Amino acid sequence: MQAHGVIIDLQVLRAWARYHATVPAAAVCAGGTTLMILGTGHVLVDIAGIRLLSPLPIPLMAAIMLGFGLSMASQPDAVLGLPDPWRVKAARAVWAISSSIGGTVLIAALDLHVGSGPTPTALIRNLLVGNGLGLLAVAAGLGVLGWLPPLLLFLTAILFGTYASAQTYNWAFVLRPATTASELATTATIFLVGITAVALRPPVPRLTDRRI
Amino acid sequence: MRILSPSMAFRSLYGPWVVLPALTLEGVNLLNRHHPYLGEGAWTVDWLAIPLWIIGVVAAGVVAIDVARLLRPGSRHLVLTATHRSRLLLWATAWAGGPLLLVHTLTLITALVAGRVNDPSVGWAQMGAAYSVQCLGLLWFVALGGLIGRFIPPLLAGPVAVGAAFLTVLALSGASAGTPAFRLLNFGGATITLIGLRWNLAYLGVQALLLIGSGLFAVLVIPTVRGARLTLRWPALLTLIVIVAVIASATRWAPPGHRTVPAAAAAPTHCLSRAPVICIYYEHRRDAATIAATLTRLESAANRAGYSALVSDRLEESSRTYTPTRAGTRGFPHPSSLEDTGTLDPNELATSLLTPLTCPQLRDPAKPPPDSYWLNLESVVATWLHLAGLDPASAMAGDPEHISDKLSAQKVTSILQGFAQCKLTE
Repeated sequence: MQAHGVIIDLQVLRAWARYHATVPAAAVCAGGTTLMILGTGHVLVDIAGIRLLSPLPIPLMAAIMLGFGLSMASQPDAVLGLPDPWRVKAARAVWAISSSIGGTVLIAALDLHVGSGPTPTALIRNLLVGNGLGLLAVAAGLGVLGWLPPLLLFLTAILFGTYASAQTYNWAFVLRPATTASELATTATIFLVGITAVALRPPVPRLTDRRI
Repeated sequence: MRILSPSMAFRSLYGPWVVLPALTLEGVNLLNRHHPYLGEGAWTVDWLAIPLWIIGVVAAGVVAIDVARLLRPGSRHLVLTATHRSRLLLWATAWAGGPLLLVHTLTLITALVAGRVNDPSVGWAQMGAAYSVQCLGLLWFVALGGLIGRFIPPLLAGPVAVGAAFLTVLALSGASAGTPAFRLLNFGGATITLIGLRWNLAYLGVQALLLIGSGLFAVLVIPTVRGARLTLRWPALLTLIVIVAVIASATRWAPPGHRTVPAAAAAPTHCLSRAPVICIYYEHRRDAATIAATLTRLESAANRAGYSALVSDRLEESSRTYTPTRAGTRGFPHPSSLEDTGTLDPNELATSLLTPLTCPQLRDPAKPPPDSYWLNLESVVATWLHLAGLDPASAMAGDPEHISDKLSAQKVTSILQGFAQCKLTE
């Protein structure tokens, strides 16, 4: 396929996808999407016997999971030790951005906003936060632990992010069903830092397996 | 064996590093909400269970990765995995669970020392039992992660173990614990005082047995290689099915009742010699000065203004099982405002003192008292706050017009006499 001088070779694309953990990523994304669809209109009111100060919409959690799943697609399957010219760096950035756009389009297309539930913008915010934090882990060579930063942020927010009047602290914004401009700016920063880190630093899996 | 050394463990495994988020979460929990649990032994142990489920979920995910890497060819552990595979898995699990237990124990000791807990009302043995079950719970999550890691590739092992651990928390932790049913993963997490309660030792015993049994299975089972897949032999698979069935049906066969049950009624013993005499539970003595200052202010103001019906000879803290009934003695529970915000709400204290807790109408949700009772109660409380120079409007959520009216001493006496006789409808 050729358009405007840019060649998209499907074989190269397939090889690129196979080189990365696209299949596990798809499995996690499928889980996140299913949870988001089934969880629409549902909330968690307590966890581990502890009543939450404000009910937690399940889709907010699923969006974080979907975002992390998308970041897994940037995890390489092997260390090739090849040169890393700028075009490869750009390809990594395009790959990560494309997967994020795919997730964003999916959320927008599903249009799961119900009543006072989370808005699509809030779900996209959580997706990009989960994605950005996961990408940072991949760039740090800790791709197998990519789930840890978004998970810790979200679970800690559930436990300590709400105060007595059912308001959330600013750092726990991933719990909010709607978004503000400052939250979106923070989200964009996390996402862009993640993308930049993955693009500039070859994701070398320091302690992971050659074969996954 | 080099794998035994801490430096080797920290370099080659992720498990030992779980200590960092555990330390952070336990530390934040220790300082959270103005640490209202300090001083009360039972509450301290229960409070420390609040972040355990997060630590457990994270530990399960991390250990799953470690075990998955150790069991697969091509990993950097190839040399190490060639012999003593089962022992390696045990060490990998121990290097995750051990530091977690250390952190939890140090946190508990810190909280007990900071709260000067020297004579817990429930006794040290009860506290030790509840703490032991919490430790077993942490190890159980580690074992669960290890079990999942035996069958899932490293990259997916983390998310799958985290998902499985989170689902077990939702299914087995006893959401809200509203019904007195057995919940395997209910380790506590009280956010209000537990004075007047003790732990149900039969409940804790069944928890411990199930956690040890299922945890040992998860740690010791070794999968067999069948083609490219790792599977279980049929005896192990059968055992796993039995364990799942036993845990799933535990709500039917385990001893009924809540995790905590009422203890013998006991009056507070930490009394301040002043008029009126104010008695607080010894374990709440760090709040004594704050509570006594407000109580004395309220009582002195009523005395000076001639509102004798508001004046008591003795004020005693009540518990889940103890309510003072002697004439001239009023009771109040440990103020929730202190527990929630760290500052005492005089309105809450005055309302507690005037509420006729012994009246059966207040304990029957099917037949709540009429609105006139609540209006009378609020009016008397507002009057009392007025007398003490406190602003009722800032403390009360009621109608500002009616709470600004100060009742006469005769009216207050009439209302409180009605309360004393449980006539709440006039």
